[in-house]
Amino acid sequence: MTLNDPMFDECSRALAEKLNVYGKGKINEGLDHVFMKCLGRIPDKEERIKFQELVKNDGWYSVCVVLLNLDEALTRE
Amino acid sequence: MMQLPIEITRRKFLGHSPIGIGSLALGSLIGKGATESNFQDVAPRAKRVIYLFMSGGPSHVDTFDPKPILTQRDGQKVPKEIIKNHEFAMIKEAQPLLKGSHWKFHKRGQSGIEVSDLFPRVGEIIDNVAVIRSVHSDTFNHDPAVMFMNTGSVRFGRPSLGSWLSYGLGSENNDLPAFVVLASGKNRQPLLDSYWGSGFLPAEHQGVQFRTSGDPVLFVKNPEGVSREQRRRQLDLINWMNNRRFESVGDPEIVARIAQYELAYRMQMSVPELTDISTEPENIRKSYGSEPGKVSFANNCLLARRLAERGVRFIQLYDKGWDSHGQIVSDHTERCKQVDQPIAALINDLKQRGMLDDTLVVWGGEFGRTPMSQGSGNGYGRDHHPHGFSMWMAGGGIKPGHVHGATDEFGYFAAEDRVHVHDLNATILHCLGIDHESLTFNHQGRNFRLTDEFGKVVDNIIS
Repeated sequence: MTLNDPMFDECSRALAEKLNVYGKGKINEGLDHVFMKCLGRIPDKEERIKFQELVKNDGWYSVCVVLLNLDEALTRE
Repeated sequence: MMQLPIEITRRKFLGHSPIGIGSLALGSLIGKGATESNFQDVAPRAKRVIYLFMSGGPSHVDTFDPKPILTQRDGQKVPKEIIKNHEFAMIKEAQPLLKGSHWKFHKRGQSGIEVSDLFPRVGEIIDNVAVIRSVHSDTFNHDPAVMFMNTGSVRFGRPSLGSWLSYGLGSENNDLPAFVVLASGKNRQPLLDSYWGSGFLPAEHQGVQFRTSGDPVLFVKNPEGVSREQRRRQLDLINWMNNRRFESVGDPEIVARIAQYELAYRMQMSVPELTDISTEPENIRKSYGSEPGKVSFANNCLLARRLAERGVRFIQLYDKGWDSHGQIVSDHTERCKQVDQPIAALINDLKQRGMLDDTLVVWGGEFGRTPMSQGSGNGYGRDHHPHGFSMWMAGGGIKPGHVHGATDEFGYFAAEDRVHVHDLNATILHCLGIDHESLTFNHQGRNFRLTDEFGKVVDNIIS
């Protein structure tokens, strides 16, 4: 289970810290950055709406948890 | 960034192949209970299995297969013709010496099955048991032998028995895995995850190891500071993203991943209640010899019963420390002190609850031990021995108080009514209503099954 694996948790926290520079009004820029880092692409329209909501609720940490645990991000297991 | 219009990956290609695994409805694998199995073509006698695996290889000639001739000829050379062309794992002598058992055998129960003093309590419940004295395996080293017993292959990569059952019969409990592994005992050989791996079957069929001290299951608890609500929001978005990806690439492993994330979320609630054996009445705990919080075979047996009650399909207990090359007297004495009482308690407990009728209990190891000694004096032991050894079964579908097969007079070869590992696995599947030849999975262009191209159900031990 990668979701609760300490390594995935630590990586999510470290990555989230770097995203703290993207405050209010810069969320879209932050999403582009973290999508690019984790998935090698930027979010589409629908994804953008869902992830904006998550940033507002839970902050960048949850965004990183979601992205790092996606099938799209995990290529070896 | 520009995206390629058609992205054909290997996974995507496989997902869209004519086998059509990728077209499986997502819902059929998530959050559903026991479904009608396509593989159950025999009337099932058992719904679940508790498999007691004595890892390292218990000595058959010291437990369930009495050989008086070994005592009569103790210290004499083993006849040359018997060991002709045989290699041993550790014994170096060309003609090693026969060794009588340190323990006495007694007829036990109404059936009068002979059991040694190593298993006094199992002797008390022997009338429930069918002892198979003629099991034989293909290989004499631990890892390949354990792998062979569990997966029907000596090499890595095949699904284990529990995974086949999870795949073939599904789960009866939405909140727990269908296949749970518990370990105890002395560290000798390590236990490999591949013993309970799902091989080429979808990943949600692999065994999940539970522990009786510390966190019951690794990586099920949320990391520090993550609330259940926060985790729910994360999971919802992960699932939404994974579902979209599944719709575009059709890889069945995505379905498995979603199912596993959701199962882990539900296990956060179901597991703490399950593993808290301190809630069991004192007389029950006492009968098993269980002490909550300890890592012990006794606790694992009690937990096995709780898992069985909750509908877990395949519960496998590994007890380590049976590999007795030297000091077999003290080593086997110590192991049996740990397992004898809990095994008997488990059988009695299942019986009292009316669960022994539909629970199949299997006892054994990866092989037996040589009728000849390894080393001499007080520090003698016995070497690995796959040519003939004992296992037993009890419960759902099994003839009680019965002995099947025999080794030769020295306990060397399985001689009468030989039962190969594939036969044993075919019989276990049969008790669960599965024809071992029809439980197949297409992988790399051909159908695979647990029993390879072999296996014959041992009809004589079926009640």
